Amino acid sequence: AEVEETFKRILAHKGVVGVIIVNFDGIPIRSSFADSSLTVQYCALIQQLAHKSRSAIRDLDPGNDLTFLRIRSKKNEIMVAPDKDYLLVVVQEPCDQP
Amino acid sequence: ETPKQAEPAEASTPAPATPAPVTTLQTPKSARDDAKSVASARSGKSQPRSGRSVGSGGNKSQRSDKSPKKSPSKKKAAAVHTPATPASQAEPSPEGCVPIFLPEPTQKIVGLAVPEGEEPPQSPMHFVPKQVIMDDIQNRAAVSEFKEHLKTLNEIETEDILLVADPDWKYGANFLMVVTEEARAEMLAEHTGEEEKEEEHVVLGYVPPQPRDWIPQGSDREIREASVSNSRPQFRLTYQRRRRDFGAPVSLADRNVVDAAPSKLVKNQFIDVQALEDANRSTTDIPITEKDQDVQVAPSSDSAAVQTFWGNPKNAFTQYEARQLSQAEREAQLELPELIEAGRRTAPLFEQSLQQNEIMNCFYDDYTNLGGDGILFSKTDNTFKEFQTFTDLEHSREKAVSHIAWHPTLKGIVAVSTRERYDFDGMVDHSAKIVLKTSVIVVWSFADPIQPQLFLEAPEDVLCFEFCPSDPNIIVGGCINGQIVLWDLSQHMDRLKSTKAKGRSKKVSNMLTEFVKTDSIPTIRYAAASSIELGHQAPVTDIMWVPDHFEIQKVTGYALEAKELKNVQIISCATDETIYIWDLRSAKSNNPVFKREEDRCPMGVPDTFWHLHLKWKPFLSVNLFKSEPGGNHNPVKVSMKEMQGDRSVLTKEDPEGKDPTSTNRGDFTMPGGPKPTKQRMLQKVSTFLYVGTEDGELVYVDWMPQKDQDTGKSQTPKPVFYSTMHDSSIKHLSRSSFDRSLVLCVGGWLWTLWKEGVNSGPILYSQKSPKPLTGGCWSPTRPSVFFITRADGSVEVWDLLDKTHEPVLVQNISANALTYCTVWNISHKRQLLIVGDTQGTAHAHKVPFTLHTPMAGEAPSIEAYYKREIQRRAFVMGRWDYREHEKIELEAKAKREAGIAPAVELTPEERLLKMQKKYEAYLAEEMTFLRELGLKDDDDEPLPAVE
Repeated sequence: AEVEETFKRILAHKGVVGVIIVNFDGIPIRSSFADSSLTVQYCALIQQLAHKSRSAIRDLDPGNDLTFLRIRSKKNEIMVAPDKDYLLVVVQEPCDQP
Repeated sequence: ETPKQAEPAEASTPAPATPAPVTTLQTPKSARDDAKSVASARSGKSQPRSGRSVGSGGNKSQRSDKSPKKSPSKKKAAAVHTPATPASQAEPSPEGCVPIFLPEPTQKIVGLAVPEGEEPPQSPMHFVPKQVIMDDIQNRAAVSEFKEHLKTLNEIETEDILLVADPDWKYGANFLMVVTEEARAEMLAEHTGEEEKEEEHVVLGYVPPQPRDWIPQGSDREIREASVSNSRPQFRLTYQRRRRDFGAPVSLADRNVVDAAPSKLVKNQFIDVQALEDANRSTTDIPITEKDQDVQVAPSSDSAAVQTFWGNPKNAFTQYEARQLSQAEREAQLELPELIEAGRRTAPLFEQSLQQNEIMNCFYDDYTNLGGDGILFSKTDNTFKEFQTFTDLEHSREKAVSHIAWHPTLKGIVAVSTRERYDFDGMVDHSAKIVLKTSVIVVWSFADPIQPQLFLEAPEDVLCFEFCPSDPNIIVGGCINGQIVLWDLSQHMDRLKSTKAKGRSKKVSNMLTEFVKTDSIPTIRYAAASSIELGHQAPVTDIMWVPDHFEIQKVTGYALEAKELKNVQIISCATDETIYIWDLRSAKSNNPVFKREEDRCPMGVPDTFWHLHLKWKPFLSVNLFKSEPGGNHNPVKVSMKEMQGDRSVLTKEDPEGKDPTSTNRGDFTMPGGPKPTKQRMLQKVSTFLYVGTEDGELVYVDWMPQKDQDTGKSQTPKPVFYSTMHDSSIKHLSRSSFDRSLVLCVGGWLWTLWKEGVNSGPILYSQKSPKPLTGGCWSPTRPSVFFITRADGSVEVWDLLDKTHEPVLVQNISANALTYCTVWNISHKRQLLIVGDTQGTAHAHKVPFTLHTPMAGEAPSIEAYYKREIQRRAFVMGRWDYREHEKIELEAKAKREAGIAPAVELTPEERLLKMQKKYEAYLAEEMTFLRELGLKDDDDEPLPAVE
C-alpha cells in the first residue's frame, strides 16, 4: 500500500505521463500506461539502458554506483531510478507554460 | 624346439591385424566388406606389410593380437588369406607346445571326435587322460601319432594332456600338444580369461611412428632418369683473332650484292640463306631428340564414408512474448519489503526532478528563441528608410492620395489614385475647375520613379480601387460620383512587364526633352462604369472583390461554392447608407448588348465589360438599419472574413451541406434571374460584415437578407450590434491576415481592435492620439504589428507584443497629412511601406528589419495575448453586470433604509422588521396620545417588546 501511495503521489505531479515499476527480471509490476505494449517496450529498453549506464559508472570508478538517470528528449523527460532489485521509471512531458 | 619357436608366440599375428580396431566401431558386415575392399586394393602390398608387422614386435602387436582370435576379423583373416600350403604358412609353435597331426581315427580313439549332428565344442581345449594316449601308443605302436612324442609325454607329470585344436593349421598341424607346465598354465589362462582381457585391451594408445629404413620401390630410378647428366664428352672450342686486327682501322661502305657478285672476294663475304619452301614440312622433319614427360597416377575410384546429422526440416517459427506477471503475482511483489524500501529511497529523487521541471521549463530551447528583437541591430536600423517617392506633376499635384494598391503579381508595380481635397462645399465652389480636370489612377513602377507607366482614366475622382486577384488585368474602382468603374489593362500588360528593362534604358534617354516622356504614357479609358441611376448615389468609399472560392447567391445571399475560381463579384459601400454586391456576369443575361458601331469600344477600349457600361447594377443590397429608429448607418469601410486564397472553407465543408435549390428559394426567384444552379452551399462561410460608418460606428451585420415579420419583404436584418467607440468617421477597417477574426478599425483619434464573436466591445483600444488617425494596415509578416498613419504626416508602428500603451516607433514621413498606407512584402528580406499624403505624393519606405521579420514564437504568443484580452473582456462584462446589480441593490438598500423600499423587494424578515417598526411607532404614538389625555402615567411600565 505504501508503494501504491508513492506511485500515486508521483503520478499526481504536473506533466507526468506515466510511472512504471519494473522488477529485476525486467517485468513490469505496476504501470500507469494503459497501453501494455508501451509498458513492455519501456521496460525492455529502459532496463537495458539503465544496466548499461550503471556498468559505465562502475567501470569509471568501481566504488561508484548509478543512483538516478534523467533522459531529456525533445518531447519528454524519462527519469529512471535503478534500485538494487527494482527499476522505477517516470515519464514527464513539458508543461504548457512558455 | 627351434630358435624360431623361441620367438614370442604373440608376435605371430596375421597381417590384417591393423584393421581390427576399425571393425570394432562398425557393424560386422560392413566392416568385413570394407576390409575386403581395402584388402583387394592393397593386395599387392599386403605381403611387405605383414612382414613389417612381424618384424616390429613390441607392445602394440602384443595387445592387438589378442582381439583377432575371437573377433570376427579372425574368420575374415582366414578368408582373405587364401592359405596356400599349410607348411609354407606354418609358424613356430609356442614354447612348451608341440604341433601334432591327429587324423580322424586317432581323434576317435582319444575321444576328440565330434559325433555326427552335434555342435563342435566351443573351446579348442581338450583334456585327454595321459593314460589313454599311453594306451594308444601301446595299442597301435608305430601307427600312433603320439609315438614320436613318447619321450616328451613321459616327462609330463600331469594326469591328462592338454590338446589345443588348431583348425587353421597355424602351427603346422591340426592340434597343438602342450607339454610343459608353464605352457599349459599360459594356454589355460589365455583361453579362459580371454573375454575379459579383450575388453580391457580394446583401447588403443597412440604409438608414435618409428623411423624406418628406406626401401627402394622403383622411384629412385625415376629420379635418376629425371636428372641431367653428361651423355657425351664435352667439346672444346677455341676462337682466335689475329693480333694485328685488333683496333685496326676499318672502312665501311654500302655495296650492292648483285654488283659485287662477280668478285670472288666478295662472294665469300656473304651467305645466301634460302627461304624454306614448306614451313610445316620443315618442322615435322625435325626429329624429336629429347622429350620430357611426367605421368602421375591418381586412383580411379575411391570410397569414403562420412557421418552427418540430418535434422528433419519443418516449417516452424518462433515468436516471443514479453513476460508478464499475473495480477496476484504483481500484488504480491508490490508488498515486498525490498520494493517498499526501494520506493522510499527513490521517491524523493523523483519528486525533486519533477519539481525542478515544473519550476523551470526544461524543454525551452534557447537557440530557437534567440535573435530577433533588435539585439543584433543598432538603433539606426529601427527606422523607416526612404526608398522612393512617386508624384505626378500633372495629375496628382494638389490632390490627396485616396488609395494605393500593389499589383498582385508583378513586383514593383503600384497604382495610386488621388482625389480633390475639397469638402462638399468646396467641391461645389470649384466645380468648374474639377470638371475640366481629368481623374486618373497613376500606375508607377519602381524601376522608373520619375515617369508613370500608365494612366487609368476615370469619369470622376476615384476613392478606392482594387486589382482583381484572379485576373490582375482587371481593376475595379469606386468613384466619388457613386459609379463603379472597371478597367482592363490586358493590352498594356507588356508595358508593365517590360518596365525593368525600359527603366534602365531610360536613364540614358532621360536627358532628352521633357515631352517625350509625357507623350509616351498611354492613358487607358475605363472599360465600363455602372449605371448612375441604379448604383450608389454617394461617393463610393470602399470596394472589394469577393474571394474566388465562393460567390454570393442572388437575392438570398447564400455563399455558394464557385467552381471556376474566378473573382466575379464585388462588394462596394458608399455613404448613401447602402452596401451593394455586384456581379460582372449578371448584366450579360439581363441586358442585350448593344451592337451598334458607335456604342462599341470608343477610344480603343477593350470590350470586355462594355456590355455592363451604364447598365450595370448591383444584385444584392445590404442595408444598415439602426437598431433604434432614426435613419440608417452610413458605411465608409467594409470588411469580410473570407480571404482571397484561403480555400479552407471548401475542404472542411460538410458534404451534407444543404442544397440551396432544395430550400424554398422559389419565393425569391425573380423572373429573368439566373437559373438555379447546383452549386454547393458553403455553410462555413461567414456572411457577416464589419462595417465602419461615417459617424465612427462599427456595425456587425449579416448580408443575408431575411424575411421581415411585418412587411413580408426580404431585406437585410438589423445589425447584430454596433458600437460607437470612434469619435469620427472610420478611416480604415481591415482584418489580420494571420487571424481573420481580428479586425483593426482606425478612425477619429483612436484605433480599436475587435475580435469576431466578442461583441461587447473592442478587445483592445488605444488612448486618444495627439493627432487624428487617417489610415492603417496590418503587417503581412508579423501578427502583432500594424501601422497607423496620422494627420501630422507621421507613421505609428504598434507592436502589441512590445508595448500596448504607445507605439514602438513614430516617424515623420511627410510634411503633409498622410491619407493612406499599405505594406507589400517583396521578399523575406525586404518589405515596403507606401504611404500617400495630401499632396498627391506616394512615399515608399523600407520597413526596418525588426518590424518585418517575425520573432520566434510570435504567432502563439500574440494569440495567447489576444486570448487574455478576450478573457479580460468577458471579465469586464461580468463586472458590468455585477456592478449594475450592485448598484440596483445599493439603491434598493438606500430606499429601504429610507423606508420607501418597494414591497416586492421585501423578504419575510424585512417585512417583520418593518411591521415591528410600525408597531413601535404606533406604540409611541399611543403613549404620547394617552399622556396627552392624561390617561397614562410616565412611570408605567413599558409594554414588552415584540420579538
